[in-house]
Amino acid sequence: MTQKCAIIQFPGSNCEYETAKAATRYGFDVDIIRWNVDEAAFHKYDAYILPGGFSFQDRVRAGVVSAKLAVMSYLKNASADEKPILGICNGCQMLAESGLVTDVAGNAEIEIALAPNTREEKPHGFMCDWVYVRPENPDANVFTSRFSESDVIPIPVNHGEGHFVLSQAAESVLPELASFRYCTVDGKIEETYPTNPNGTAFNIAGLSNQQGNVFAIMPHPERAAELRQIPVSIRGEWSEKKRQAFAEGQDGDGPWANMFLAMSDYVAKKRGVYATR
Amino acid sequence: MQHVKLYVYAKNLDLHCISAREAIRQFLGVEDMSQLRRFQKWELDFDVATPEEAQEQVDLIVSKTYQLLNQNKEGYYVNAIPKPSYVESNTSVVDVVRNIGTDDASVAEGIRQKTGAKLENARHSIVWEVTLDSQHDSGDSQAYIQDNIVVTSAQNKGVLVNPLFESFEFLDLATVYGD
Repeated sequence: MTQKCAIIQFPGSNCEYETAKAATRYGFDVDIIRWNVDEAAFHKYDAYILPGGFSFQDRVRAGVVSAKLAVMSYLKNASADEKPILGICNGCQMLAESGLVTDVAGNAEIEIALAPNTREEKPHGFMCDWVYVRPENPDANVFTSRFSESDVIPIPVNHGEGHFVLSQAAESVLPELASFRYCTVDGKIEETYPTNPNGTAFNIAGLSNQQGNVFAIMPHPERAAELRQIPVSIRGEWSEKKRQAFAEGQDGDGPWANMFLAMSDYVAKKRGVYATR
Repeated sequence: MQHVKLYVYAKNLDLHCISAREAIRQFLGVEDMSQLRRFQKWELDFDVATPEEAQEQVDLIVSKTYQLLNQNKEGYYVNAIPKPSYVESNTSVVDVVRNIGTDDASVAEGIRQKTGAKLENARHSIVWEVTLDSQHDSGDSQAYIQDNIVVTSAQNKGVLVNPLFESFEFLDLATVYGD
């Protein structure tokens, strides 16, 4: 049976098509649905992705206006049904503003925030670059379950407000949550720029909810899901893999294929069937 | 030393304010909020002796730089906002300061370098004027505004302040409107 994934398009989303391409490549039948979808149509999907962009022009604060839409209440119900939900960049900001991550208290109170980028506590503006991240507790979330703690994974960042701020409640459970942390190409977690590109707390690039079915990530996994998307100019094993594959006239899966495949694994398992890859 | 407050407003549409109003009234269902206005507030300290000299410093900055406002699309009031006729007991004014990702000292330094103004300090915040319907009867309109409109504590509560990286205070209306 086909696994169905909805990518929710908000006014100003701009990454929905490349996200759909990645999810399709890794086993999903994808629909791009709109923010004003009706609830019955919304709930027919197995998984949901909030894509990157600038919803409502990021007015007032990034993600806050979208977080108040009815569709976010539907998403809260989908989360309660243990469906997988991924928020990328602006989608990450919406999950934070709606309380779906980290949801430690279980009542969707606001427990994390995405503040403007900083460097040495000064404003650092919008950033666009390739960085490296490392998983922590990958077994604790659907989307990270195919990664291991020894992985060092390149990924592009493209945002102005990616500085995670944690409430005491979120901080107290941080060691138990799945997360990605910004690191060097050698996997070393350094709190200073450029390893930590935006001043984010504990080098957090992405963070799970307490229940393990929702993940909020500021960098863009859909832009590194295929080998062809990896620039040869970055350091590390992935640019070398791309060089070799292209020399042999081949393409292949990128480092973030595992995020979409893990979502597919989970949906298949929930339905009682085996994953295909 | 002279202290000046500059309230900057959008001359035409304030899109932040329109979206905030829609989110509060339509998405959160707080339909008894009848008016919402937004100002960028700059508190400026000038090394001059008189209010007239401080006004000259403001004119100098506004004419020579866009650091505080762009006169093509923004206007400003000095020290007090003209009081609208709808302001009564159900109006509150909230001053919101971002605690991360701001650097007012650099803004002040940039203005000094660009204009030669005798500016000692600059402090930026966002001021929201929130008015409820005259029929609103919660008893404590300020507490109602704080819980339902200002503080984002949950998905169905508040828009204007994220308490994890912003702080706020309610301003004395007499100070804001210069009564």
